[in-house]
Amino acid sequence: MHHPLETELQTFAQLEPQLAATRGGLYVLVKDRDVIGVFQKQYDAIEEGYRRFGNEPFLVKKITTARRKKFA
Amino acid sequence: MPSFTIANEKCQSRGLIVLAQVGVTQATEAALQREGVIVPPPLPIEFKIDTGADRSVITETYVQRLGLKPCGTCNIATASDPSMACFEYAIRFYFPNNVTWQGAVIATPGNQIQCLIGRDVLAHAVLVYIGYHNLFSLSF
Repeated sequence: MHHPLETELQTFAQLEPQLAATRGGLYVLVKDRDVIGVFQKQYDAIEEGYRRFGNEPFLVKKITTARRKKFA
Repeated sequence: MPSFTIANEKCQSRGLIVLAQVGVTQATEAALQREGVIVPPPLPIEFKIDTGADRSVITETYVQRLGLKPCGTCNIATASDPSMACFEYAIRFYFPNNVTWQGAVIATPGNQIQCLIGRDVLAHAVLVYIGYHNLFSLSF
């Protein structure tokens, strides 16, 4: 079965490490292979998604905060 | 602060139940209007408030009936699957007394509970439960 957000999830997985370095805890809006923007609030990202793409699938994901490396 | 109060003698046996409606968000409504698509009217639904749930969950049939497309994904732990992949949808809750909330909730195939209100929604609210009076109120 076709996953409606497959491309967006791949894009997010590729870009999350670099986003996490500076934008951790924020919400990213992804459509196809593009990052559309980063937002403070989840609903702001959703609102922008509907404004740009209408009632079409898009991905809003919270960017995980980068974990600091532990030193022995 | 907009609020509503429910008095129900079955609060203890059935839980904190709210009979209300679910519909599309203002952002979805605007997008549908731009596309010349008829905005689906809100649907009657039974909400159950669950302070033990971290996320709010709605039965998939409601998002299908509202014609919504996913705006996110997540994995949830269930009794039968420790990591079930689900889609998130933007949705608006119409509670009594013109109290509304809109945001992203998880849709699941189950149908025993139509909509569970978890702590993601309650994080924006004040919930007061007076057990010995069988009533509760929710303020946003």
